[in-house]
Amino acid sequence: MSTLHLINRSPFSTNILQELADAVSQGDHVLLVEDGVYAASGTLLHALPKGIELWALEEDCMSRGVTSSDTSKMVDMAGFVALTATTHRTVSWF
Amino acid sequence: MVSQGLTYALMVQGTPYSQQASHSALRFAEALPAQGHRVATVFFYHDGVYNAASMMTPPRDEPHLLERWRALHQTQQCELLVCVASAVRRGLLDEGEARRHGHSHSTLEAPFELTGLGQLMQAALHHDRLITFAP
Repeated sequence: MSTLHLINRSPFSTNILQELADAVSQGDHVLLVEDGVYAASGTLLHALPKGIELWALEEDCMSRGVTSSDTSKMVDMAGFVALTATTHRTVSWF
Repeated sequence: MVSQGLTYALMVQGTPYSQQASHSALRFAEALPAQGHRVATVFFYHDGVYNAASMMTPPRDEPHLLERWRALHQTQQCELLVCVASAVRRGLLDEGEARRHGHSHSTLEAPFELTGLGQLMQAALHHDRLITFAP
C-alpha cells in the first residue's frame, strides 16, 4: 500500500516534515503544495529517509518564486492527479 | 498500475479567500476529467463551509469561488455537501434550518446541501479516493 503524503504548510511554521520522517514507508510519495513548497529549496527535505519520492507542485513553486532543487521533482496539476491515482491513498498533513 | 476512471471525494477545510485550499481543490477537481476521473463528492468541513455562503460577492476582478463550485457541480455532477454542525454555528443555514431557528433568510442554497459526518464516511467508503485540502 503506497501512500501519497500532502504537505501544505511552510516548513518554517511547523515541524511536520520531522513528524512525517517517522511515518513514511519505502515507496511512499511526498508532494509539497501551497506554502509547503518552501521546503523544496535548500536541505530541509534531507530530514526524510531515502527511498521516498519527493515532488513539488509547479504552479505553487512558480507563484512563490521557488525554483527546482535536486531533492524534489516538479509536477504539474495533471501530475498531482496522476500521483493520487497511482498511490493507494492520500494523507494530508497539517 | 494506473487505474482508469476513478471517482474522487474531496474534503475542503480551508476558508475561502484567506487560505488556498478552495483554489487548490478546484484546480485539482477541474484537472480530473482529462485523465478519465471525476469528482463525485465535495465535503466542506470546519471553516471550509464558508465556500457555500450564498451571498458571496467578491470583487469582479477576483475569482468567484461560489460560481466555480456551481460550475463544478454542473460539469461533473458532483454533490456539494456541507457539514451541518460546522455550518449552522457559523451562520450558514438553508431554508429549513433558517425557519427552524427563527431567521427570515437562508444563507445557503442548492446545489449545496447540509449533511452530517455520516455522508463523509459514505463518500470515503464508496469513492476510490479521498483527498483532504487542509486549511
